[in-house]
Amino acid sequence: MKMANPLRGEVLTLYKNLLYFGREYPKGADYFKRRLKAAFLKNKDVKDPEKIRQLIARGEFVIKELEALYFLRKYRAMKQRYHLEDDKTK
Amino acid sequence: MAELRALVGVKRVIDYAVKIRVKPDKTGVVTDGVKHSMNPFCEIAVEEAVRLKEKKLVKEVIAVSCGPKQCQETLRTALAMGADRGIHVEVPESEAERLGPLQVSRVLTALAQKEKAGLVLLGKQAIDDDCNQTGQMTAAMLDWPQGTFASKLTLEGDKVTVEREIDGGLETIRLKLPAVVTADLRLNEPRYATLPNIMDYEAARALGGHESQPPSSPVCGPPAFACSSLPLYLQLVPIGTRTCFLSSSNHDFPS
Repeated sequence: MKMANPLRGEVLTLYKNLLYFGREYPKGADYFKRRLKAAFLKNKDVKDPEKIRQLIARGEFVIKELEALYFLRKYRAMKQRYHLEDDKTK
Repeated sequence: MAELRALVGVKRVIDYAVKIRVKPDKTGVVTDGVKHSMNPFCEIAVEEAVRLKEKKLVKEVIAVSCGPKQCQETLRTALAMGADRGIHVEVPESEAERLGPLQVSRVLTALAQKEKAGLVLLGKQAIDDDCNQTGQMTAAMLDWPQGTFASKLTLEGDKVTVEREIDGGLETIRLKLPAVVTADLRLNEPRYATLPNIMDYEAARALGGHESQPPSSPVCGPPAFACSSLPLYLQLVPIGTRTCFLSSSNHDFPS
């Protein structure tokens, strides 16, 4: 019987985190979920731990990008709604 | 001051990105099934409190939310962002619509005194009602100085220097603690509450977060909660990785 890859836990945590982040995705949570699942399934046969680690790093990079995206969206929306005078003085 | 306790008010509002729809009978907006989240300015207030704690200027960050049961979600987010305790002042759904800045500031006043907070941090206004009153009213009731629309906050000893965004520019004031500060957009960039943190608190709840006995007297007297039901005082406490503590509090509110 094959042993489960020790990195399996990390991959699962990454997937769960990405799912959680995807809930607020501007194009829709379903859109994100589909793309996420497809991306993970595409790599399901990778066995080399170094490659897996690289892919996990890429996933974590995506999480950081999403954080930045969400923050900027919210900041810009709040600025637009509550700080009109900033635009006027420019 | 390492002894300083920060009380942060957080409000559960309809998410900022949601398209608001008016109810067909025109009595309000549709809130059922609509995505809710923490008020963006409250997020900024929580973030500031947590940053002060990380700088060891604040000993404990206590998040407070008033409203129906769903407010616990908002509190969990605050806990995941780094607050130490969450206090949910439960108001039944039927009454929740009448809950406004006046009532909330009474609650915050009572809690600030009870928890011996030295700093009350709030968002400058809520994006659903845009009242911009709770901070100011709370300061008046506590008879504390206030620094509203803060875009910069510096704690020095027993004083806090607040840079305020006002019409026409910036104003810098120095307040003696204890004080009330309301957060404006440029105070900081709030962190995103990560899933593992939130899940710890889910586990705490599943294990049985205790509900305390309702206090024997209403928090704010008849005018604020003009109904016979009393606010429930429920404390949410996070599970640490080493210790697990669930607080069950039987608090008596001042009558």
